[in-house]
Amino acid sequence: MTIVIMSDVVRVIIIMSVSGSIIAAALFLLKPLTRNRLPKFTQYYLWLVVLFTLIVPVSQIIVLPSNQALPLPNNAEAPAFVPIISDTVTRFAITQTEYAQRSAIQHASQGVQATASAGTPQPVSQSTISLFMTYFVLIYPFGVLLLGLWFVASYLMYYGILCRRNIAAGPGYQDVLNQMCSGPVPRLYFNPLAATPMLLGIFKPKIILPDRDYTHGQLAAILAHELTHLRRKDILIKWLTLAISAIHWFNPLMWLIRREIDRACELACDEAVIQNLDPAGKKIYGNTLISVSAATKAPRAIASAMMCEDKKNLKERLGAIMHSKSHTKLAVIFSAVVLLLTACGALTLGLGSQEENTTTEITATTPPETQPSAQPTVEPTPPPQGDPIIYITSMNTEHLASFSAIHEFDFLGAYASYYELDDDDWFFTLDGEWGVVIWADIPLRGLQAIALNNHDTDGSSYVNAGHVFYELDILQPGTLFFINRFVTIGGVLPWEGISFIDPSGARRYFSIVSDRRGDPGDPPFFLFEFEDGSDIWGLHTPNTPTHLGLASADYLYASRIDLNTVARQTITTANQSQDSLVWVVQPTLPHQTITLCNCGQFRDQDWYVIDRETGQRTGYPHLGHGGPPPMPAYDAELGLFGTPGYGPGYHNLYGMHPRSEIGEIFSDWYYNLTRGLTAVQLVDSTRRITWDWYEGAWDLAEDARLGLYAIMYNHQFTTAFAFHDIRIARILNNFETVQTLPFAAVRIDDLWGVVDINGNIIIPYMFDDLTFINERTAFAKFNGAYGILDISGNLG
Amino acid sequence: MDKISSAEHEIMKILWREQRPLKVAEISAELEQKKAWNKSTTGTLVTRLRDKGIIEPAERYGVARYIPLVTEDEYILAQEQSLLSKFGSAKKLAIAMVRNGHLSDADIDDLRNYFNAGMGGDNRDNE
Repeated sequence: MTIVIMSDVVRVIIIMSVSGSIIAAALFLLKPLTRNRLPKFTQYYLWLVVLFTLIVPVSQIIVLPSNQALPLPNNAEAPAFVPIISDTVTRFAITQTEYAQRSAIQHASQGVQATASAGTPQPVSQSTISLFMTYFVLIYPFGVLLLGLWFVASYLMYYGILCRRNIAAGPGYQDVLNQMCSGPVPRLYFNPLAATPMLLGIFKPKIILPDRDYTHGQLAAILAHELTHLRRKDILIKWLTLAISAIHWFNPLMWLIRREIDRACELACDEAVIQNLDPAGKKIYGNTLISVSAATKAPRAIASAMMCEDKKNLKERLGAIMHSKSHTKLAVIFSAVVLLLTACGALTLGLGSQEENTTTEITATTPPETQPSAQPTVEPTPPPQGDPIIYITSMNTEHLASFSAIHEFDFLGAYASYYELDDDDWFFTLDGEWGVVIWADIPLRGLQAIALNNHDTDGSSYVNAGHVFYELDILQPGTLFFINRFVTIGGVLPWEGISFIDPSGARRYFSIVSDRRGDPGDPPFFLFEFEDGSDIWGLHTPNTPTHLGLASADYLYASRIDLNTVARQTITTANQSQDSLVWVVQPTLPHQTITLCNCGQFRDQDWYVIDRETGQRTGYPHLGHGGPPPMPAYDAELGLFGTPGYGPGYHNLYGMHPRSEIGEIFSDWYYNLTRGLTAVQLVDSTRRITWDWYEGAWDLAEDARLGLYAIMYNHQFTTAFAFHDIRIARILNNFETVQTLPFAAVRIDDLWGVVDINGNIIIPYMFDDLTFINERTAFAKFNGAYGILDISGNLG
Repeated sequence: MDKISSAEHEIMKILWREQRPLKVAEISAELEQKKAWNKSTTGTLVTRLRDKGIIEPAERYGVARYIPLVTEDEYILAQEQSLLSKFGSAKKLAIAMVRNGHLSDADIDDLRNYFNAGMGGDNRDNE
């Protein structure tokens, strides 16, 4: 019985071997054609199709006759070898013993037929084959076992000997790696035994470099290469290849296939690395390849034939670098077609052998009702850099909407990494200005997210990967959750901010989070701690989730912020000379009442706090620059009071407020006004310049009565009061606008679009929300889902 | 490095341990006790090591005293290296940046010329 099953398995493997070999042979034959025409990664993936054919019995999905037919007690084992069994019902009017004998013959003959389909018919007597098969079935498992053991044992030996000599790289080197790396950062080692830089280890990959000095350029080139391998999971592919080699130990072509996969893997890796390099960078990269080969001198004993082989390989890689070009659409389409054809080839090969099998003495009857359409798809997973990737979030699966980028993503630099946490928990990260964390079906408590690797606008990069946030129980399903720019406070404390957008899309706020809370009964209190012992404190009130204070504990202490009665922050000014920043946004309050408080950086301003219920405003505008005194103003029609102008250069034009809001500061004045003792300066509150926008000349105006915005240039309107809301594009750093940009996201009625400073439409009004617009991207909500909108192509 | 046989290794162990130039007689004295090797055996081994360039007579002494040219560390490293090279198939499991990397100087020059001519520019790494 066991023999019967064994022979089935061996037969399946032989047929896989043959069909795999046919495809491999086709690839070898086509190599002169494809070599310089197809992108290297396509060539690589073509070989993975071969691997697939060698391990998934595509051709056996339909032809296996035995499983349902024979009442084998250990039927259940069979599917392990045959992943998909058709519903083909085959009947045998023979005994099991007969079957055992006949199957041996039949298997052998199928083997021949499969060979025959490869175009090499051989008249071999069936009894010889039968005899051969009998012995082969007995020998086969030992071959797999021996080769597999050899691979594993020699790897362990190699690993053991090599890694004993590992010298952990100093922080300087490791930092270079950290900076280049998104997601888990592998450890970097130097090793006197290593002949060439390598990536080693399955579970915790590490990068091992020969123990010598490297220039920064070399190091960067080497690490970029190894990280690309890491990202592509090439180690796993190597192991898979070896496992398949063990399974197909009898197939001499396997050795060629393996060599070819290694070659293609390196070329594809090179291609990916140099894709983003300028010619100078390519040159450094190529020269590094040569230097790395030069560093280890050949022992005299090594045969010259071997050298030729290595030299040839290296020459090919250098050639590929020299002649690299970005692939035209045509090439990509072409390679997709070739991939598809190869995959189809693999399938039809299987179907072909099925047809031939029907001619064997076993009669198979197929029930008409069930021929499952579950044809296995053979296309390999498309490479991550291919299609636009969707970066949409939702906390439960059904909300996981797809958002096709309205404008094409530029994925040359943005390489999405994919981490699998669990069966259901997964997320993507994206290198780039903004990161989006996406997850599905993560419980509200204890959810995890990993921060992203972002790049600063000045080109310096930083790593903020790996922070895990817990207990974000303030989040609602459907919350868009993204990591803001890397921020330093006072230049010393690094932290990350997070923004949230509720499903309603209405609210957003920034936070730094941890799972620490204050006393029971306190609102959730988030504390972010750093290794150097300094704390940044933030307070968040989820019931009125529009508010957050941040401060460095050294200087500032945020006691409690409640939106309804925005209590004044307790500020301990232990060290005001250091820049520290408190930043508060109250989006649910009217726009003009956003309160900004800074100390240190903007030392001469102080807090305003406004009670929304009573309109009571407390706090003092402390204008330390000695500018003109506040000029009280009154709009009789609106009944608004205000201080309409502190002059240019001040960003604290407080605008117009009802009496209830103006509070103590104007109380004397108001007292005099009501008693008719003070002349009232009437102002036109319909034009309220809210801030300097672009190059000092552009401004934003608001009509306080209509709640509409307009754009002004040198105090002249360039647009009408047309926009219901406006968000100026800006480059942010440290939550601080370092530059405003000459365009803005604007809302008319319910739809958002992008206009330039002259009001010309850049992106039509089509989004439900459009926020965080910067020089390249914005977050857009469309069809109920958020996505990244790449606007760089539309800005000229 | 040429291979050191296990007998030769005994001599090397003494030289490494003593950290000073040793006469053949001194080495031999110890080995006579430990291994019952006679003087001529030790002498032959010493000569062999000298021929391989692993030890060297420090000439300024009247009688030849030998010093090792290879440190124990270097020796162990070389041993491990040769051991590693025996696991060629395992090496393929690591992803090495260049295969083997054993190219002759001439090959390297050849490749550099080829590459830099193709890319335009001089022959040095552009760093």
